Amino acid sequence: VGALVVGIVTLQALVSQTSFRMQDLQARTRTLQQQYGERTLTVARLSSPDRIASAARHAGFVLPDPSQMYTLHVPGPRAGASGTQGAGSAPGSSAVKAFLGAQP
Amino acid sequence: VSPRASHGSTQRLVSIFIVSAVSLGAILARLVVLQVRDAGALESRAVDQRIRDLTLPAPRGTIFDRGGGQLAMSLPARDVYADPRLVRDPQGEARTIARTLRLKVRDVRPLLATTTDRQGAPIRFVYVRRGVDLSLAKRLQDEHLPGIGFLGDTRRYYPAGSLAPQVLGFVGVDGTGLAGLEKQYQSLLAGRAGHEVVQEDPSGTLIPQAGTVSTPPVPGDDLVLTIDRDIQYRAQQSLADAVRRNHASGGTVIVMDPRTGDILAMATYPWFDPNRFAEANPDFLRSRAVTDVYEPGSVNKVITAAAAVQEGTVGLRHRFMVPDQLKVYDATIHDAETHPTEQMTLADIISLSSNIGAIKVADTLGQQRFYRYLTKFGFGHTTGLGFPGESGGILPPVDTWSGVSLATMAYGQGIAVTPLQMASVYATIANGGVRVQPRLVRGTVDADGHFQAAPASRTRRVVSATTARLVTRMLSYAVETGTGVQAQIQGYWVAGKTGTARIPRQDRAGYTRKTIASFIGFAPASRPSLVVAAMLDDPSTIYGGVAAAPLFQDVARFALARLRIPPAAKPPTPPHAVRPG
Repeated sequence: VGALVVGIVTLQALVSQTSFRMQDLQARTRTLQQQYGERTLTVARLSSPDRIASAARHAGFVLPDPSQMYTLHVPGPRAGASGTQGAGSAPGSSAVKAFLGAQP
Repeated sequence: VSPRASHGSTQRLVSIFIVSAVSLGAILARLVVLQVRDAGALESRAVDQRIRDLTLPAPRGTIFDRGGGQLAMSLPARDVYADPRLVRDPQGEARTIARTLRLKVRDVRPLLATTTDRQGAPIRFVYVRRGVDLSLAKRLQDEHLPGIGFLGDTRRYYPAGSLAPQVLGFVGVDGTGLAGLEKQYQSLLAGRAGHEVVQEDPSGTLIPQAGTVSTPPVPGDDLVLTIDRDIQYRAQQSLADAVRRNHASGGTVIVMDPRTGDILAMATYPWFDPNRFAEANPDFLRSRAVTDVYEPGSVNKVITAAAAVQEGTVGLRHRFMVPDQLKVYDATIHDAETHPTEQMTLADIISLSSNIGAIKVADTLGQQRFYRYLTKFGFGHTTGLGFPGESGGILPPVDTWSGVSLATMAYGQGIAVTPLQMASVYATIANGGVRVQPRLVRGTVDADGHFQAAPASRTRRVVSATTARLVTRMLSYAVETGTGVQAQIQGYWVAGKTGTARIPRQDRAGYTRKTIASFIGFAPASRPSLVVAAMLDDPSTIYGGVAAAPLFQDVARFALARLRIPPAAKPPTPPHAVRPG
């Protein structure tokens, strides 16, 4: 009987200990989920277009002026059928090369 | 033993027995009271002291843009409440709460100091602040202020700030969507709150193995929008610049994919920060692209032309004699600019945006047929978007039209539409005459991460593919040589139309001097992938071709590059009688 009582008490103690540990782990899971959520929010804020545009401006980047942009027409099966409304005609490769200069 | 002594002993025994009997009787009676009469009440008090019934808030679904960027998301938070009758030092506690939660003491103190309501009933619960960040709530919790408690909640964040705020909408402190998509998809986003019953000891520690009943919360579904956040951002920036440049009072930009009906951007200026919607001007909260109507003006001539081509009442080579003014019923209608009477084809009428020419074209259709086409293009009823507060526009029944109605509607006055309805008209032409119902949601993601695509938008043929192609040629010609030259995009052929609509008076019939300048078009003209509608309210530059066409150009050029849409062939020049330039 004595051994049985000792066994039951020990088992009860182990179950209680496990139960406390489960509570701790659940609390830790909640904390980690919360941290994950906060970091996701931080990443979302940092990757918002407004933040990136602002950071780019601070870094000295500027949007190109339309006159500095060329649209390259890739020759295809129907090359020559298309033209450009704004420029009258697509710039030839020599014009593009002149624009790019020594750049690759 | 003497009889006297024996009698005394008996008396003592009797006394002890009586005292014992009375005591036992009292104990028995008390036991009956506790175990039988008050048993229920006492058990309930014990349960109240030991058991806590917690509501587990359901995480609200995230709203993503089409590329997976978060536009709205929720995080766990705490509601801070007070039981004023347990608060010992209202002033001191108010100071601590205000300092921790960054509030004003004068706002907090009355909540803690008022212990009865107006009827004299005790106040046992009052919210001090809802949706407090967990870190701030923890700091306050560590102060152990008497009478201050905490409840689980969630808080909504809009990480991109003022990006598409009128489209997203916002949620109230109780987590209910109050506007925009947050309102439209409330039941989907909200999920279902859970429930947990736990047993605690007097110090608040959970009693292990005491048995808990738990119903986990069901998280809300995520929403994946058709909005592209980069195009949306650029549309908003370009719109704000255009409003400033043209001294306008506001404006709208819509970017659509005509093939799918996907709305890639929908911007209304002025806007607001949904993280602080309570501080915003109520007039800025509406998505005016779908909730407000305006008289579209000359952009409506595309319907006049499409109807005439579809019905065959006007040939492409037919030449109208077009003066610069015309008496219709009891009104004299003018073209925007004076010009001698000249011959114009349908392409010239569209390209030069002649009101008189449009009236002559509408005359060939008659009221009934023209009304039918206005309806077929979607006027008079909502687009099917289902957006909260969406307007269907104002299209008077044909039997109520006056003698000038057909004439004015031919050039877009006397009817009212939303900017989205008008963009949808151009999307129909761009899509070969098939109207695709606009949509803002691509699909949903459930709690297990499974993406469920939204059903494809409804489609309906409005005009034939041939008609759409012929009208596209005219619209392209209008950008090449007509009123829309400022909408040209280097490297692409653009089709589109300017509009300069006068704003009706609010107090009586007639029009103000104010205008709404617009340009709606698509690109590439011969293989349309993008429709852009640009509108400015009351610009100092007045005309659509001057105020709105550059805005269209700016947004469309960015969107074409962003979506890597290649140029396409030039549409054939339509027959015309007026020399360009």
